[in-house]
Formats: sequence, structure tokens, C-alpha cells
Amino acid sequence: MKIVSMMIPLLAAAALVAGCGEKPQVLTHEPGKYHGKADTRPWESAAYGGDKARWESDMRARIGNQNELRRMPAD
Amino acid sequence: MARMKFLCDAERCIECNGCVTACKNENEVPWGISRRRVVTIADGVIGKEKSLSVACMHCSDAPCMAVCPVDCFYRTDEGVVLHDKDVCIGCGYCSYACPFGAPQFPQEGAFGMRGKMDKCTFCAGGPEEDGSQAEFEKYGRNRLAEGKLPLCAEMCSTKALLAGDAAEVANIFRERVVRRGGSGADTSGWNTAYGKGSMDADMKAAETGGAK
Amino acid sequence: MTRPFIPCLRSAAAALLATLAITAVPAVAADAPPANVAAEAIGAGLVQPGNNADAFRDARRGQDQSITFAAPADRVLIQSEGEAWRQMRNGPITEYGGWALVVVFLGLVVFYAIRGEIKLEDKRTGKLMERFKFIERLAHWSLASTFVILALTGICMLFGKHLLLPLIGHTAFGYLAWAAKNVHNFIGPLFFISVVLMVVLFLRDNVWQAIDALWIRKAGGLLSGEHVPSHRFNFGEKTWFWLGVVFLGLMVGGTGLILDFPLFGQTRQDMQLAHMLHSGGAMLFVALSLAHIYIGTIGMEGALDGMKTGYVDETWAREHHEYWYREARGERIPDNAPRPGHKPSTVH
Repeated sequence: MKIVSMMIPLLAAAALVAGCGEKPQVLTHEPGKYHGKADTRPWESAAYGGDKARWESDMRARIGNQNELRRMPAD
Repeated sequence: MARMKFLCDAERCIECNGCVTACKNENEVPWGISRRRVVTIADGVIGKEKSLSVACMHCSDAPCMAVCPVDCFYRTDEGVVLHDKDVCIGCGYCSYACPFGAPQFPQEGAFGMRGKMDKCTFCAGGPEEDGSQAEFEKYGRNRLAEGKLPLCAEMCSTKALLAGDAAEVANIFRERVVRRGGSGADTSGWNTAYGKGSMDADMKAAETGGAK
Repeated sequence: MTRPFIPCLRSAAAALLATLAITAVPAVAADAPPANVAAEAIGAGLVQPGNNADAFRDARRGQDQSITFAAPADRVLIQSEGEAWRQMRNGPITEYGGWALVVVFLGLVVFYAIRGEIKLEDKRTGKLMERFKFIERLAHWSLASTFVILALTGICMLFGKHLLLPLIGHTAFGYLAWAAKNVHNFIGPLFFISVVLMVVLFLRDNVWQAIDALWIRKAGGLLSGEHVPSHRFNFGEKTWFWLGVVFLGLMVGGTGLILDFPLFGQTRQDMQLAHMLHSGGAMLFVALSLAHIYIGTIGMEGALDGMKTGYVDETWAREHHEYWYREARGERIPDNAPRPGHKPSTVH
């Protein structure tokens, strides 16, 4: 009887765990949200202090700088 | 800033491995790991040789994220795929699923035991305080928080490797392709990687304003 | 003219279907993207000068390429097989594996409700017979304990994300899964050794014997309650030995060793294949083991005694393994078992 009382919760636990087979394996992954450890956004850093617009315009300038065609003198 | 993406121009990449070195130095990546790698096709065949620099592509439908048994991955507002090394158990599943071999593991302990996974962060650090020592030691530099782009792209000598918002990077590349007399609809080239969630799909979505 | 033609056509169609099934399944599962490659190549007229498409396509094809900082696990830089592995692991292995556990468990609950514990019909004599030697019990219990640990930690890694993670959060589950992974990796080799020991010790008494045919015909008497005579092991036990211990044990254990020691130049593709066999086989193994654990404990009176103490009551031996009992008493076994054309001790 001792074995019975030991086996039943064990098997019940296994069955409970097994009931969760389903295809979508990712929990809710909304952009910018994470249920684990929190991460700040890039514009929330010391350099920008939450000024998203300034961060975006800086980034845009930086991205545009990669285009050397735009930096060439027009002929 | 809808989606941050890398784009490598195969016509321009000269396999100098500057991006690889820049990444290693900037992020002080663990020993034995190369977050960015260069592949050369038809090495030495005149007119056919092409090189591409490949790192984590920050896929929209990231396979690593889908198979992680502890769900340590997350996607930022900017579409950068990051992970929490405190939660990672080093099982290696993300490296089985990733098409690009981006997730890599330092060997830790005996019998080839894997340490915490390490991969390209788009120079966006990780879930630690921005610019902190803990963030740097685990994930490398957080250049995005400093208003800078990933160093690999910023210091690419031929500007083959571009980084930034998908739509803007696509525009730069398209301008370039038109100027050199090229054509074709597939800008990045790897819309064939795993189908949906690819870079081209993202770029097209960004261009049409349909980005999620 | 038409008569031979129709069967001919039918067999041709069957052959075609078989070929399609063989070729289409991996094409859909493993290599969906190359279909896109072809479609894209046609759509773009194959010419995209000054573009990246061709370079990426060639890189994907994986021929004639050199990689800087190639890891030992890399055969090519861009692999396609990962998607197939992902779909397999997140799909059928998780889904059907989970359902297999549920179905077997519920089936046993129903069986227990209907049949109850299989009791001894006669009173115990109090005289004991040795059923398992010490080394046999050692092998069994080391296999059993490592199996349970591996099953629980493995289930934690496959299903924990869905069940435990939402309950206890990322940090706690991260530590738990980390412990589970390491326990799994260190216990695994012990399990493999136990399997090998088990195979060696129990092989001799698990070969086919003529009386096993009777057991199959009467389905072991499981439902009728009839006692089918058998030698030391009946056909049910032999099935568990060959299918469970030998086939699944060696396969799951062997692929586990491949996954556990990534030191011998295994590529990512090798690991994917090993993992699919490992987790798929393990789910089946765990599901079947539930039935074994059931019949060895609450399902049958006196069954556990043999493995626990090494001795069983003579009544138990006579009722469940009649021939073994009579042989042990020095009686001659009348070979009255039906022999429906079976060659002794070959297959299974």
C-alpha cells in the first residue's frame, strides 16, 4: 500500500506534465516585452535619458552615414 | 526604428574579416567563439568568388527562440533577438535549430560540457543595466544605448556590411544595386533561409508600412 | 488486354505513390526552403546581377565554400536541416509523446478500475523460491533508478517550459532546468551501462520458447484472468525486454551518449538526428515503462517481491510461471505447447 501511495502522485505528475504537448513552443513574445529579467530600451540609457526621438534621429543619421553614395560630391 | 537588420553585400565583401575582429574586440567574446563569421564561395575562382559575413540575423520567426527549453530568448522593440544568460542552461538546442550557426557555446568543464550560449547581440547588450560591467561581461558592449550601430558594420572598410533599420538599409542597398546596373527583387538574398520571418519579408513589410 | 493492364496500372500507381511518399515527406519536412529557392529562381528569371540572392543561394547549397572560424560542428555555414529538426521536436515529438504518456496512463487507470489487482488464487505457501539473483536485482534497480531520474529530468526539459515555467517563473525554472540538464547528462552514462548489464544478464531467459505462442493466443490471460503457463519469463516480459530494454534502451542510451559528449566532431546534423531518435524513443520508452511499473507494483499481487527480495512465494511461481516452477522442482515439462511453425529462439 505504501508503494501505491507513492506511485499515484508520481504517475499523476507525469500525466500532468505530459498533457502540455502542443505546437507553439514560444510563450508570449511581444516585442519589447519579456517575462524574465527586465531589460531597458536603448533610449533609456544614461546617454539619452528616455528621449526616444533624439535616439531615433541619431540612429537614422548613423545609418545614413553608411551610404557613401550620399556622401560623395554630386557630379 | 521598426526592425534592426544586418545586410551583407556579396559584391563588396572582400573577406578581410575586419568585422570578425571588430566584434571580438568590442565585445570581448568568450574564448573559442566567433559571433560573426565570413563564408567564401568558390574561393579563388576568378569572377565567381563571393564572400558573405554572417552572424545572428535576428530573425522574426527565430528558430532558437522556438526550441529553447527554458525560454531564455526575447525580442526587443527594435527586433533584436537577445537572451538571458542567467536562465540559459547550455543545452545546445538553439544551435541545432539556427540556420546560421550563430549560437555558440564556450566549453566549460569536463566532457565537452557547454557553458552559457553566446551569440551576436546587435551590439545591444542584454538584460542587465545598460552600460554596466555585468552587461559587458556577459553580453558585450551596448552600443545601441550609446546611439551607435554594431561595430562590425560601422567599421566595414568597403561598406559591404550594413546595419540598421531594415527599410533604410534596404534603401541604401537598392540605390547601390541600381547604380552598379544590377536588378532583382531580393535585396538581402536570404528570404529563402527559413521562409517566413526572413529579412526580405521584414524589409518589404517595413517599406509598405505593414511592419508589426 | 485490359485484364493484365489494370493490375499493372494499379501497381504502377502504387509504386508512384510510394516513391512520392518517400521523396515528398523529407521534401516537405526537411527541405521546404529549397522549393522556395527553385520558385524564386524561376520568378526572378535566375538573373539578379549585382544582388545578394545568388550568393546566399550558393552559400545555402553549401558546396565549394570555406568558412573562417569554422566550428567543429559546422559542415556548412548555412544549414537547412535545423528547420526540420525544429518542426519534429516542437511538433510530433512533443505532441504525440505527451499524448502517449496520457493515453497509457489513463489506459492503466481504466484497466485497474476494471480488472483491479491480479490476486493470487491460492493461499501463499510460505515457501520461497529464488527468482532473481543479487546481481540481477542490482542491474534492474540501477537501471530503474537511473531511468526514473532521466525520465523526470528529460520531461522537465521537454514539457517544463509549458507547465512549470508559467508557474515558477524564468529564474527559478532556469536553475531547475540547469540542474535537470546536468543531472541528465551525468546519470545518462550510468543508465547506458545498466542497460548493457541488464541485456547480458537477462538475454538467456528471454529467447523465444514454444509456449510463448500460447501466451500470444490468449493475450496473456490479462483480460480473461486465465493463467497461461510460461517458463521463467512470459511473452509479455520478453516483449518488454526486447522492445524496451534492448531496442529502446540501447537506442536512447546510445544517441544520448552522442549528444552528451560533443567531442568527436559531431556535426549539427548528427546532433539533430541523434536528438530526434533520443527524444522520440525516450517518450515511447517512458510511456511503455508506465505499464511495466504498473504490473510490477499495484497491478499484480506478489510481483514486486521477486525484484525486492529476490524470492517469490511458491504459489505465485506456480500460478504465473508454471513451467519455471515445475522445472525448479525437478519435474519434467511435458512439451505440450503448440508449435505453429515457429523456429525456436530466433526472432524478437
